[in-house]
Amino acid sequence: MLKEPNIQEKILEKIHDGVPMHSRAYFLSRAALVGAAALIMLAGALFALSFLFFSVHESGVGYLLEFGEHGIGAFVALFPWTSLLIFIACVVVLEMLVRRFDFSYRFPLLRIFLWLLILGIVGSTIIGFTPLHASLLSAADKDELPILGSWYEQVHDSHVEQGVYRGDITAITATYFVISHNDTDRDSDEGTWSIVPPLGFSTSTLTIGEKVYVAGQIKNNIVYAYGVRLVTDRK
Amino acid sequence: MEALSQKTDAELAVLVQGKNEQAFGVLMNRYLPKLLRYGRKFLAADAPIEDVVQEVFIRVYQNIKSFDTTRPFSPWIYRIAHNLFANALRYDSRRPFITVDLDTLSAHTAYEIDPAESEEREEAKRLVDRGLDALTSAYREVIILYYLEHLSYQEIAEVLHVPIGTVGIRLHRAREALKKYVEGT
Repeated sequence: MLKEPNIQEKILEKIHDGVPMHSRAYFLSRAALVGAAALIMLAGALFALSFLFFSVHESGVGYLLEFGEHGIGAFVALFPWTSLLIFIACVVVLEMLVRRFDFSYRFPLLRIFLWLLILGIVGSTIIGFTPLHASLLSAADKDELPILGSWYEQVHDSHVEQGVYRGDITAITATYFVISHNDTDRDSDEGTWSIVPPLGFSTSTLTIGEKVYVAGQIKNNIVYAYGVRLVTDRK
Repeated sequence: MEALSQKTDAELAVLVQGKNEQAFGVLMNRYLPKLLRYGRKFLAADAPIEDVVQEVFIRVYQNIKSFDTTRPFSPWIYRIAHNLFANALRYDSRRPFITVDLDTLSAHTAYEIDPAESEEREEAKRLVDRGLDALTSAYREVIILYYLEHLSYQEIAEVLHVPIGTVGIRLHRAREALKKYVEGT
């Protein structure tokens, strides 16, 4: 049988030299810190994904999918990738934190990741039914949201450079209509544009004052649209 | 001391939590040979095994209050040893330790060994002596814990922090790899 008294003596010597025995409070506070960090990550994930859903709907980017091949290209360009990346990063960090808890090793990594993904999607959908993002957007529009303000202001940007315009209809003729966008704080996306709708689209279906989302190519300050969609306001 | 030696690991752990040094000595008596054997099989021959095992016991003493005395002690101490051995392997380029483990990604059916397969167990033990060094660290460790340290699947899962199905699949693959290696030599 192996007997190693020297090692034992060395260990006891080190302990006598001042190796501390951590208290229960130490372990409890460490677990509480990990738990708090996990909750923050979960909140971050839910916020980022619910903002993504809100942003796609509210900005009208989702409408681009109805505008054919050109629309899909513009959708990819304007999709809120940052929100998606933040959501994935939060879920990955959350998984790392969850794995610090003893119960987690019993489940495969992929299953935990899928659970967190489902939790994120369900939670974000529930948040989507609350007025959280709408009220934050409203505060951003009034310049009353200092930290996340610029993030929310992007929701109503026109993205003129990508050929995407949004605004209120100010005039309608048989062959074109005029829209105007003014969010009072961001000059780059404000303006007035004449829109020639795509073939088969009748301007008689429009009403002055309605908000529209338009994708097209601009020539001589006239937008030749390949897609027009009325914006439905969130209630 | 004699009375202490009659106590279970968990009972001793409770006493160590109350800073009973003699109880800690009994635990060291019980686990020092096992952890040295585990280290000698798992780490390279010239690795500072005694230093690492010393560190294991220091960590045990430091963290003893995080031990849940309603649970078995042996997976808990082996878990600490596993972490420190894995750290030692990370600094040893000859025996790389896999940190991203694909076996833990998805669920596996547990390949529990049937008691009727005790012959296979004996055969595997003989294979272990001949071919352990040919295995990767993940497979080598599960073989050591099962065949040499006699831990159950559940206990190995607790030591390695992997699902129980992963323990089964690793043991299965490790045995296959051992057989192939021994047949090829």
